[in-house]
Amino acid sequence: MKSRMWKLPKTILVYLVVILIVAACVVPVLWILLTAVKEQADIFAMPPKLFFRPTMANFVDIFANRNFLHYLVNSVVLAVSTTLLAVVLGVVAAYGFSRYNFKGKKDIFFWILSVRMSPAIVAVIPLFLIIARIGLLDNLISVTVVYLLINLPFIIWVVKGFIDEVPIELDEAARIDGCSSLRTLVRIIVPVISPGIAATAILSIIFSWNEFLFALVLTGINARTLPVTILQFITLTGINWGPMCAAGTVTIFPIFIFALSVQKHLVRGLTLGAVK
Amino acid sequence: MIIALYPFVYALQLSLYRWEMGQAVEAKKFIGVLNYIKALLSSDFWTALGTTAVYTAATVVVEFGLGLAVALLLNGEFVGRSVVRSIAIIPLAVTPVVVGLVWRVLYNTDYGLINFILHELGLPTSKWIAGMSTALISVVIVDIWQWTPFATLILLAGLQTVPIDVLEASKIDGASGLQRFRYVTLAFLRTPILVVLLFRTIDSFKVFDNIYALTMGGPGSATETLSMHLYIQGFRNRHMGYASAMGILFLIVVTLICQLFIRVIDNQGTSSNDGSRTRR
Repeated sequence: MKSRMWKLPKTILVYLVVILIVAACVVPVLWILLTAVKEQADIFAMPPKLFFRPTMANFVDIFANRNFLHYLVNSVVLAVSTTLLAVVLGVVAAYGFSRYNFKGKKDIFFWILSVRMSPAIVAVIPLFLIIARIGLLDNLISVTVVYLLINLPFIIWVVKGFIDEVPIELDEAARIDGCSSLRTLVRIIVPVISPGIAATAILSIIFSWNEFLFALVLTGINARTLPVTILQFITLTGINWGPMCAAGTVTIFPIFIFALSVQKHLVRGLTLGAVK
Repeated sequence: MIIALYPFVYALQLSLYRWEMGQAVEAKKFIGVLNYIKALLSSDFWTALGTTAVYTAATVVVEFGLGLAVALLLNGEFVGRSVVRSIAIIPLAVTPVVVGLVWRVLYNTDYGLINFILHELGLPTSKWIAGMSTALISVVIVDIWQWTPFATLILLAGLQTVPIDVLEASKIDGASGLQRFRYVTLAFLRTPILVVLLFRTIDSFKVFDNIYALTMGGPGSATETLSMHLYIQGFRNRHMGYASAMGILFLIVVTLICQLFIRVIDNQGTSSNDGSRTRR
């Protein structure tokens, strides 16, 4: 009785909270979307204009006049290649950290974190000097390597946690059935920890997509990425809000679509009843 | 590994020199640990460290708590769940520079949306990032908006690994909802929790983009975090050696905090997780 009486108010409460969360996430983003399709004069109108004739001029502007497509492609290539590499290397490394014992394991595991700990401002100058010496400035390859360095510790840490929770009996069973380590990892472990891999892949792609400081210092005209491109809308005479928000909108959508498409992997995989 | 180590060694080396940026690299002068002494004696350094500590503590605590709550909520069943899950990570997808600039407009006292809504609702308005006393909390709110989804995403993925049969077994054994959460769910979330706390602490401690776009460390030095202080000293005042020394000190502090987290959570784990492990 009691639980049924509580059911309806509880459902309503859940939906209210969900609406609240969605609103909190969406309102600032909505401001960006609306500003992108507003005329310059309407942007700061008080009270804010919710109804107006939308214009596509800002989108046309960024694609026609600012070489935006080129930078968009750069960002896509960079985000996809870093994430693919980082996830593959990260999962293998995490498996090693989780299942094998070697000397100084704990220290190495902590040490890989230090790559991420140093303030970017301190790391960027030496990196700039090395990359300039190798002659790879303004080249997507060097930026990929740097992003890999920043993403890997994160992926290794998260994925190792997930592998730790997988009972070792699974490995042993696979081993008895004649699987090599690599095969065990790919066939047995990866499907079980797919929620963890999906989450890290989303975060890794978001990081590479949005990274700013390294991209600013390490790229020029050729390998420039979207976040750096957005800087050019901040001029001495003020910020070009329309084009900037149009660019912002274009940068949000691919991530949103990617997140939607990996959504199904975020849900429980085959963990249940794997060992019985 | 070499690429990862080199910047650190270089910064360490640089921190022992006096080098003004713009001078030739050869013009730098060896001054030993003077840069470190200068930092440790500088009240600006300690103020920035304090600001960073407050910023980090506030953002990590709220983001973790809120992230866990949202993850638990999104783990339940309701209509439109997968769309809501995708929407919940939108703040992460917005480029940090844009986040900063947009919130600067939202916070604006003349034409900002936030004061407008507060005013329409008859609530008191605030000076937000322009006010001495409200600037830090305003910057913290932006960080929370942007980074709570990070905690949500990782904890949500972690929740998927909690075996349902263990939860059900404990239910049959008569564990209350709260007990099940405390002893089963939290035990299985140990690593995701550690990851969230560690990475949010590290990144909060390093915070730069947001502050740069929102306040530039102002008004006064109300929001001048360590990274910002370092940037001002290194790039604006051009004391690269001094900035590097502060960078090294920074690294030491972060390392200590991270070690502390790992110790605490590891100890927790060995006491509470053994039960579920041996039972399998």
